[in-house]
Amino acid sequence: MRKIVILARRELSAYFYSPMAYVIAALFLLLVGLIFLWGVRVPFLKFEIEPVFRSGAESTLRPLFDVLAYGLAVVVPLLTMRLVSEEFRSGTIETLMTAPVTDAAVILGKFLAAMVLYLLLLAATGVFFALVVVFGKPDWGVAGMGYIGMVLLGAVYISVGLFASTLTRHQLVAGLIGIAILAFFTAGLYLVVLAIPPEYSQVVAKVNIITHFADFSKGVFDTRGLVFFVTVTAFFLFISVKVLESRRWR
Amino acid sequence: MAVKKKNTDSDPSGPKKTRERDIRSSRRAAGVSVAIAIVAATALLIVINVISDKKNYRCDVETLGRYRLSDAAARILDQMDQPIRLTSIYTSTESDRKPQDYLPRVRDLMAEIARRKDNIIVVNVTSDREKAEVHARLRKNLDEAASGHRKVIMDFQILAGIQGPQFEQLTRQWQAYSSKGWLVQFAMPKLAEAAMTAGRDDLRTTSMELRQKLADASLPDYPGMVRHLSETLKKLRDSLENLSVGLRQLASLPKEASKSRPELIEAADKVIVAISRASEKLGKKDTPVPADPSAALKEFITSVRAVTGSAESAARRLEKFAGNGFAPYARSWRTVRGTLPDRYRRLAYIATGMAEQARGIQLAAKVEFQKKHIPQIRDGMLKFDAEARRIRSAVEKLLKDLTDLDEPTKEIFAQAGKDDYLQAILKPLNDLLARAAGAGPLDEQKELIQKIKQDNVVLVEIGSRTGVVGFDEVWPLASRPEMGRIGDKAKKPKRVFYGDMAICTRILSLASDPFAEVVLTYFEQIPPQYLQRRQPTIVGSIYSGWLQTVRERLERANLKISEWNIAKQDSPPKPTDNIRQVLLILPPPEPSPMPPMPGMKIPQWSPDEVEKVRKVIAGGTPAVFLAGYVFPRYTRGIPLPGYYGFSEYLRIDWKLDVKTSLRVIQAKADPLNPGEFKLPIHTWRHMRLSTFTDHPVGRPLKARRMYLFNACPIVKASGKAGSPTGTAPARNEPNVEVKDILIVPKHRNEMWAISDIEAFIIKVKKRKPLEPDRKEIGGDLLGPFAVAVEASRKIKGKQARIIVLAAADSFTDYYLQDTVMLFREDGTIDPEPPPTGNVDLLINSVYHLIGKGEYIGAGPAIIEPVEIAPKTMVVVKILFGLAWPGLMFAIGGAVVLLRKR
Repeated sequence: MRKIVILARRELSAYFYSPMAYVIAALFLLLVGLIFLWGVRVPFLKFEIEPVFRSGAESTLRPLFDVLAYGLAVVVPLLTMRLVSEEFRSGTIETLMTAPVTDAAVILGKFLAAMVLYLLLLAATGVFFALVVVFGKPDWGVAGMGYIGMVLLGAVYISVGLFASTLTRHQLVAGLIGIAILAFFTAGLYLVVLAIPPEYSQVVAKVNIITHFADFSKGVFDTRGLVFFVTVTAFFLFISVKVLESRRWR
Repeated sequence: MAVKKKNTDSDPSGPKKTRERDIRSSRRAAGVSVAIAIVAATALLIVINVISDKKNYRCDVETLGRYRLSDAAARILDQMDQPIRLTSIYTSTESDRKPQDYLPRVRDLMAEIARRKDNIIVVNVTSDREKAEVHARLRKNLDEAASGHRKVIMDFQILAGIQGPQFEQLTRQWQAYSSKGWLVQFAMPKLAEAAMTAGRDDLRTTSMELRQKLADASLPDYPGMVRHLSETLKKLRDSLENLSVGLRQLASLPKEASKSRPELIEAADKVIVAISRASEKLGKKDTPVPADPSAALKEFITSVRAVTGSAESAARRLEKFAGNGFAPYARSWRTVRGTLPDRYRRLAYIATGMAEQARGIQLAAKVEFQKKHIPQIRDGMLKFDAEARRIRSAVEKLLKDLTDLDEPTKEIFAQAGKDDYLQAILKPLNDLLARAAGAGPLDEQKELIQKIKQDNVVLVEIGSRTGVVGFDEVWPLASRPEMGRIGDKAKKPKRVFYGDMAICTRILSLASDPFAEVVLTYFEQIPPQYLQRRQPTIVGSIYSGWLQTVRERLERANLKISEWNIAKQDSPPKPTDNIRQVLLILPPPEPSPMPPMPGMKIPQWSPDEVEKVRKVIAGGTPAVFLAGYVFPRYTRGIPLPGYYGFSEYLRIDWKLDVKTSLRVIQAKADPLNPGEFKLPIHTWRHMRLSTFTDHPVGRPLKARRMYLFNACPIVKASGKAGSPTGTAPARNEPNVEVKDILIVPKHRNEMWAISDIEAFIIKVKKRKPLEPDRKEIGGDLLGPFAVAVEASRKIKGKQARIIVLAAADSFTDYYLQDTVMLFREDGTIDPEPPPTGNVDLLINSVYHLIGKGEYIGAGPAIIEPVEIAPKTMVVVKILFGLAWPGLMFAIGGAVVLLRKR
């Protein structure tokens, strides 16, 4: 465990000693602020998100979380794309492999680091919730469950991003693979659900990450969602370890 | 996995191969083990998730419970064992009904419903293509259910194809009829030709319209189409039958004319003879005047009176001959001077006049005077005789015209005399009409056909039955103009989600037997149309036919509807299938101040009628009374309080003083003059009031938009005589328990009940400031008071319960189907959908009274919105939208700088 924490600290310091974490945080907050305070409107795509925080609107962060669930499918892989692929590219992976740490510890350490960064980003959205508290009467249960959902969702996204990062030495490719996987398990499956007969669509919908997240975002706790997020995170971490392991004998 | 290095020093080539083989084999082993591990992990992932899917724990931490199914909805779903299919079709392009705003909640709900029951399949339709697919499936089901209707429609098309040419042929036949033919005098050829042409055109037009409807509508209104073709067929049948009957009657006319000829001519001759006899009494023209003019005049008077009699008799004979037949339609019957009987009557009238004139002359004392006037009477008699002879000629002409048949007409009559004339056309037409009548109204699909054209609907399919839950049911309007003032132009009316109960009650009504029977109770006396001029129509302030919306909604809430007209029946109809009954009592009519005409027995509202209702309620049947403000009656300019037939009953038996002479109004405080108010004009008709108590009937409606019209207050009867609306004190009934449902609370000082409507209207018209009249006696009534209450008590050991809703006009069709017009402060009008939510108050009342309170939905939650001033919003945007991310950038920049140093 200690080794995992040390590895995580190393990763975190890499994040924070470089401008990367700050740039990501700033862009993330800018995106959140845009959705929260101004809304998004793309007329030619007939796409419109009304500002979450406006006079007369419901005092809740739910619409923000719902949009972020899709948005993070792009942001998180960009956050995690360098985690392992950078080690491959720079050759530091060899040092890491010869160090007295297991592959699992490496993966968990990197996962933990990304998770901490993600939690910090999420914490930064607290100011928006504070606004809702000051100018409205939010439902604390919904808000709490929404944040729990966001944490679980983040864990899945990071594990998928990490897995993508173990597949290639090219950061960008890793990022794209991560986005592709997450896009499939979110928007892709949504489109599949629309295309297939309703008898099967319910089964497919259960594999969709957003289906499970939606429960949390509306303030509903369901063990199915919890189990789904935990097992999927564990699964991707496991196969990440296996992919990393395979480098030893490939 | 570490790969150990092998010793290769002894044989460089052999061991190399061995090493490579070893490496390959160990790689293969490692690869296989990784693959197995990944497969095992995947299997484990699936197994764990499947198990967790089967045995899950779910709880809603949301305080308001908006995202979970209400207990009532869950209860309904738990009863359902049959397969149910729910399809949301949200494809509206209207800006205030955008699917992206309203569909997510519906989807959440439907997913929740599907999670609760495995037998419920949920389908979400968002594109036009999917919508078309659903319509195609429904069309298939509908086509199966309406196979009888379709056959009728198809047969009609065939019939139209066959009979069109037949009508054309008949038209040609009539066109070919000679212009001098016998039937022309009755205009029959033209009439027949017009009937045939109209028949052909009607068939063609209806056929085309039906074809168009079948092609256009995704779900054709088959019953409507059958109704349409039936109307065409009926019209055609009536027209053909009239023609057939007419020809048969005409065919017998020549014979009748021949038969009647002698007596008609004899009657005409008698008139001429009578005139000549009378003329003889005064002598011929240009002969000397009789020596005794008085005696001659006397005889003349007697004779001329005989002329009157004979002329009258001739008129009667002609009329008798005409009877109900076609003779009066003959051209010869009508002359320039009128019809033949009329001319005889005029003759009789003139004869009477002449007799009177002669009598006057005879009574004159002077002989000279009598002699002077006799020549004038002689002249008159000559004209008189000439007219009698002209009429006789006209009668003769008529008889000649009627008997003088031509050959083509004889042929037509020969055909018309047979029963099978036009039967070739009429028989298939009648057969089809009979089959169309047997096709039925297709009740199970009625709603589907009518509502499927709407956007944003949820389809509920259970077996062959399909229900449609409309947008306004799932998303009714909120209890107040969300986001502030009505004058706020940019804001749309806020809607609240009521989907779970709207959908689940629809499921319930499609799958279960009715919970109870709502007996629409009223006092109405509507005479048949032919008597309506002589007998008054007696109806209360709400005619029972004005409650179609209420009836429809009650039926959809799984309630059956029956009727009890107190004017005709002493007790309500027996309940079908022994289900519970609830009386829904409409305001009774005011007793007529005028006594009925002699010999006319008209039922009047009386204490006897109240007794009938009292007896039923005492027997344990609950009742909902619809009362409301009643405009004052004016007797000699003095206003008397409006009459409500159950006032005394409610006061005496239920300790409820329904003040129907006071009208609740909703003014608006004048910010410049504290204590003074203005009346926003729309509140006169649409008074927004949703201040429900926690009573189970009203609680779910707290967040719902509720508009009331002509509401009156209900207060507990004081027990003292002489209160404003009546005189009877409340009976001392300690066991009456009264609970408020909807109230005007004390703090709503902009609402009160006015007593003098006339003075109030004058003030409003003159734009004078309004304030309550605080006189102790006869003044206005200030809050708190109720507008809806429940009262219960025990009568002979039985629990009796009633609910009084004192805004009866708010439940009529003309109110529930009317767009709400809100006048903005800038003078523009803001239309809102009709206040259909009112009916939920009625449905909840019925559910509560029949003990099905568990099916009353929890109602939408009241959500506190964000309230922020525009200026503050700008600051917030700068601080949190720009400065906050900017701070992150700044920290990043600082870190980079520090690192560089």
